[in-house]
Amino acid sequence: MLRRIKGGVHPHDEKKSTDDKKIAVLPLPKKLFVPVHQHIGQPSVPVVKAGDEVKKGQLIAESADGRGTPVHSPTSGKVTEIGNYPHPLYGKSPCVVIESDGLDQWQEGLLTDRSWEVLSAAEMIDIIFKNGIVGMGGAAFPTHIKLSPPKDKKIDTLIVNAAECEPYLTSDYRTMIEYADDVIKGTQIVMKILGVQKGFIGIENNKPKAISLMKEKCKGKKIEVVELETKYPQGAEKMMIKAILDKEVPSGKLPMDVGCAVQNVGSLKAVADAVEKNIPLIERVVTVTGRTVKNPVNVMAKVGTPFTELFDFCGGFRGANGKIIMGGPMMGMAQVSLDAVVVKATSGIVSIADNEVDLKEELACIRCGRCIDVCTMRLLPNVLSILSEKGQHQTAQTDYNLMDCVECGCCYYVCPSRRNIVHYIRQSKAKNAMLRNAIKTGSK
Amino acid sequence: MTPDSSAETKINLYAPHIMSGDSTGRIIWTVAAAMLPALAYSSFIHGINTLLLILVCAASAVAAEILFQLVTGRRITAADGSAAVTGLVLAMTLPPLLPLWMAAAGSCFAVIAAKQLFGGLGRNLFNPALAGRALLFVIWSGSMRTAWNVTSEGNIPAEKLTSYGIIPQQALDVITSTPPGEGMYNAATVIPWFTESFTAFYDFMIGQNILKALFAGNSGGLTGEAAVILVLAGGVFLLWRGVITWHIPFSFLISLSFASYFFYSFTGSVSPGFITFIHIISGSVIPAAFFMAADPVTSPLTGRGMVIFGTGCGIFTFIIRSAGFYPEAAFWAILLMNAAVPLIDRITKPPVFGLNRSSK
Repeated sequence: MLRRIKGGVHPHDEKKSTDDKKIAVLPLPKKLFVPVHQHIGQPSVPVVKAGDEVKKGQLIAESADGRGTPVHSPTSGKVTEIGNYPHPLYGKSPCVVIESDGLDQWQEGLLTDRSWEVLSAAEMIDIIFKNGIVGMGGAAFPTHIKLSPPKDKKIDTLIVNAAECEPYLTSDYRTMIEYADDVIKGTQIVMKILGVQKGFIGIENNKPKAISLMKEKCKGKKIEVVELETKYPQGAEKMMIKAILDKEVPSGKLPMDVGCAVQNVGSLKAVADAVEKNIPLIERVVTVTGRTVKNPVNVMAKVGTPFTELFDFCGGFRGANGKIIMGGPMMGMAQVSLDAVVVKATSGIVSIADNEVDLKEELACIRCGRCIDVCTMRLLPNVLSILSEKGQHQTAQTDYNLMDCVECGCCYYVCPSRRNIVHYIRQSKAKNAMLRNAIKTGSK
Repeated sequence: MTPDSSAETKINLYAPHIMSGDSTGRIIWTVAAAMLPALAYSSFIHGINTLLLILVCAASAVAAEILFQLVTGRRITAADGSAAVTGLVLAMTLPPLLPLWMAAAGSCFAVIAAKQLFGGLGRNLFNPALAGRALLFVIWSGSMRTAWNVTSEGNIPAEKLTSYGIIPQQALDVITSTPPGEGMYNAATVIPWFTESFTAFYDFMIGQNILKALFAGNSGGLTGEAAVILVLAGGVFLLWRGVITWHIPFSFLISLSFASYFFYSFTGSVSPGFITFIHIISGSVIPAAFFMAADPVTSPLTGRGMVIFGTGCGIFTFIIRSAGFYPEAAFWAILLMNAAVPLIDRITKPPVFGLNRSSK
């Protein structure tokens, strides 16, 4: 049975150009710029210094507070410097610069061969933490935190997010096709850690091959493959849970409050690699695509690889670029520099052609109501944008549920007046946060 | 252009980066296009004054907007088409032979007082065209009630059409035989009067073959109701293009039908169904439902709100028609409901995901 959500939009998915392309291996870059900040939270602290020799998989930055994730060297070589270089999300950010020695030599003690079935949940969480695994769907939330819910939250269901609802991206799809066994293994591992009996894999119905392959692999296991309607933002956590279990995560709460954990396909492959082979998260599948990319590909890219290397691998550009985006075009971040690097959360790099960029002027809201029809959180996006324009950020929060917005961008996508409603909402959220901080510090 | 930190950048860095490609300009010009067949046919039937009336309304609306924006130092936004559409909608609501300077005055009032003073496109509370018409009606009620095209030269094209068999002879009879100011210049206004002697009303309607006249020719009505069928086609076009949704027109027509049917049933009419039908196809109800009530700016935001709004329009139309005195009750009903939109929006806020319903 096909599961549906209310609201949402149907952008042209543009996946054709890469969905049949096998994951290629990128030639070893000469220099890697590995950011120490690759998860949500405090940046990690480098433990190497300029001049140190490092091996592939060696720890180069450790968690600052025990909650963040460590970072490992993606290849063997020499640390030339620790300095600020372009980060795809945080502007210029501290990076460990590693000059590759071309040998790509693993550190000793890695590449083990152990079975997850003999390990305990606590041991596996520790392994996941030590190997620096984060949510690879784009949010980069540390996986070990997600897998250690507070004692009073009983989790009974694991949902594997394989919707990949963003246009253009095919990295999760290729991971499912080429690493199906690893994905299933990762799912079983996480199910064991959380002690859940029931797992679901939610896949949009524009990926029939992945659905049939996963169904076949899940036979005899407690995992059910669920076919989802192809619709953006089906892959948003709350929408996944709604479509599969028909549960609504209460406002301001997390999936664990309805007994759910949601994990991305890529993260599960990384979990399987970490637990069985002790391989840290140092490379990931990246879709490099867009209308101006000569030869779009899916590529296994090391963390810290500059985008320029990826585009060179694709044969460069044809035609004029408008924007380069890390992530999908609906929620990704436009880049100001092609020197930005692949991080653990880089699911894809998409080029938007010059003529696709909409520079038309923003007009007043004509109350057509399209944003309301597509809002999956059932908010009044146009009202929020107008309140933000007027500076009534508090009203937006108290009367119009500002904080429930998940910033999926459907409202802007459909807006005939080209109002960047999401951006107005982000501004309101930021203004309110500033006000809260001011009140907090003022009352001390 | 390659993204480059040094380049002076106009691009928006924040997601989303793609759009559906729809535009407000397209929506507004689609509305204009949907009105054109009905207006063109009207000009054809009523003659040159009507054509000029339509052009003057649109041109003076655009001129008024540009002038206002020049004087107040705002950005000129006439290209979005909203002023032109206001003018066209106003023309629909005027008698075909109204003096042109009155039409121009109404247009200027509509754009400046009812739209620009409220903050311009998207911020006006009342439908500008209907506000303009209301003003004209209050000031020049004489002309607004008598400038119908009944026996003038404007009927020559209608005669031609009849001789070619395009419109029926009966329709022409209605057009040419009804004197102005009395009798059937507008079906809506005669309905309350005829409820007292229903048989006469029934004979009158059937005898003159009013149905054919309303659909194919004209019933001596406003510019916008020369041919109800063309107005309806325009409305369906808007529905098909997704410019309006079904909520308002349908709830409007259905609630008016219900109110009329029950009223005439309970007051002992022989054929409540027939009178209800006349209610729907006459007195500008169809143009009002599709082109004026369904205006997104002055109607509620959510589907539920729109249904409340449309239902209110239908009921007020019936009340004003049967108890009141003004013709074109539908326009007054819409203005009344426009005032209620902020309230309707407030009580029909959608239930936020994960908030109003506890998780199952």
